[in-house]
Amino acid sequence: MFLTKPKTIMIDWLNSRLHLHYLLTYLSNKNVPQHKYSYWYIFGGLTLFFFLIQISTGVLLLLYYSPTSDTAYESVQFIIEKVPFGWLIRSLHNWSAHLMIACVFIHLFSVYFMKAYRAPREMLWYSGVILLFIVLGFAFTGYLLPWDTTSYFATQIGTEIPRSIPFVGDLMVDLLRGGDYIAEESLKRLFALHVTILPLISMMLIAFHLILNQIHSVSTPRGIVVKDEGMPFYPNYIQKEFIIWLTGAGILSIFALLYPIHLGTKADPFASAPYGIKPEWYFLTLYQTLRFFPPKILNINSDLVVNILVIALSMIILIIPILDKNSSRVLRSRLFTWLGVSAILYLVVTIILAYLT
Amino acid sequence: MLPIVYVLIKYIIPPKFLGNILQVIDVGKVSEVPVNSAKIVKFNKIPIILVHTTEKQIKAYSAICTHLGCVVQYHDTEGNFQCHCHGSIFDMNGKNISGPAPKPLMPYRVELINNNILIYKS
Repeated sequence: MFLTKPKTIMIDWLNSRLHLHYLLTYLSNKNVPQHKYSYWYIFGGLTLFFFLIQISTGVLLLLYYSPTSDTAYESVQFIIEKVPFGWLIRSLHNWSAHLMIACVFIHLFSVYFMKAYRAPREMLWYSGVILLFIVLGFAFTGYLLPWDTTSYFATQIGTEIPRSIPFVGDLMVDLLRGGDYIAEESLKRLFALHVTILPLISMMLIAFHLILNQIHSVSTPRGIVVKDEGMPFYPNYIQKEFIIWLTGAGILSIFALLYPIHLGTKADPFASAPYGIKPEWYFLTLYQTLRFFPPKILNINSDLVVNILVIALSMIILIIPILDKNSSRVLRSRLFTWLGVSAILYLVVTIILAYLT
Repeated sequence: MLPIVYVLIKYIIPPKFLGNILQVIDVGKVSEVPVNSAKIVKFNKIPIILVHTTEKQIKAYSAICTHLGCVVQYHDTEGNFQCHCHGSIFDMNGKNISGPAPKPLMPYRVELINNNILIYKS
């Protein structure tokens, strides 16, 4: 008895109560298909990694952040200047948000081009697209929290966009702002969304997405030959995923350490908006699209036209598995491949144009 | 279930501004706003841009750009109001003359009494 190692005693104790051997046997027997495009799936795992960084650094920031218009800016300044490594935690939070959004986009497009949304994986696509919108919601609601000039006016613009939607536009703006203009009420509402509602919804959806991924496993594109029997989920796939997460941590550290995020001047609602104010890169396509349009199109406010386009496009993206019937029949669907290529080109061109002009 | 949904919806819709709504404010002496300059004042939580034109007139407009709600600024060299967010330009009568703004700036009635500038609720 005394010769038995403490580690073994602990594992036996846990095993007898949690039946972990069932889980390990299941994971060891599970094989992940491997093919020449498998590496694209690393971006799904990386998104999860950056999300976990977001949650952990977000909780740390909450220890000092104060969501009122009088104290928000000062509390962020305190985090950066006075709290040991506060600047690093804020920088990690900010950069992991950028990297998470980039990974979500790459993951979405890789799934799209591999037609991995085809039956029976439609629910994976639906939950993934909703998660994309939620991730953008995180970015939008978190942007005002430092209460500096850029964040103030960027949120003023962003929350004004839905106003042109008939019947519900004013109500949507009121719900987001808690009043007619961006003020303390808006800060509290966006803060509540950012730290409670969106994390709760996203965690449930991520769990749903991962469970579905376990049920259906990763997809194999049409006409691709699967190598051997695939890779055992435990320990091989988990080890591979661990290396990818470490790489992600390295990239994040480089950005966070070399390019820490600065705080602008405190927001003054009665000051003029600064010159050349632009949203973050993931909203530049919407920003540039708004700029393409004249104030009125056929006597209709162009903001309304853009709102309708955005809503229609979001709905189309969501129901792609229903629209692309060929993929579900394992047939070629060139039209959807070209639509995807066009979407990437439009995103790239509008982002470059928005930066240059 | 319906009463719960009703209570939740009513709770999250913000109540309208409950403070005293001013009908008029005194924003100071004419001499405080030199000719060909402007200043922004607060009136019922709204920023108002008050401008002293080169024709010695005092005019007041809502400083909220009618495009997406940024605060506009007076440019004394061009003699117009500009929104720095998306480049909308308004002339000295508040009319939208360039950029994406779809409507003119909302004007406010101004009166001068004993050299004091009074702005009235539009």
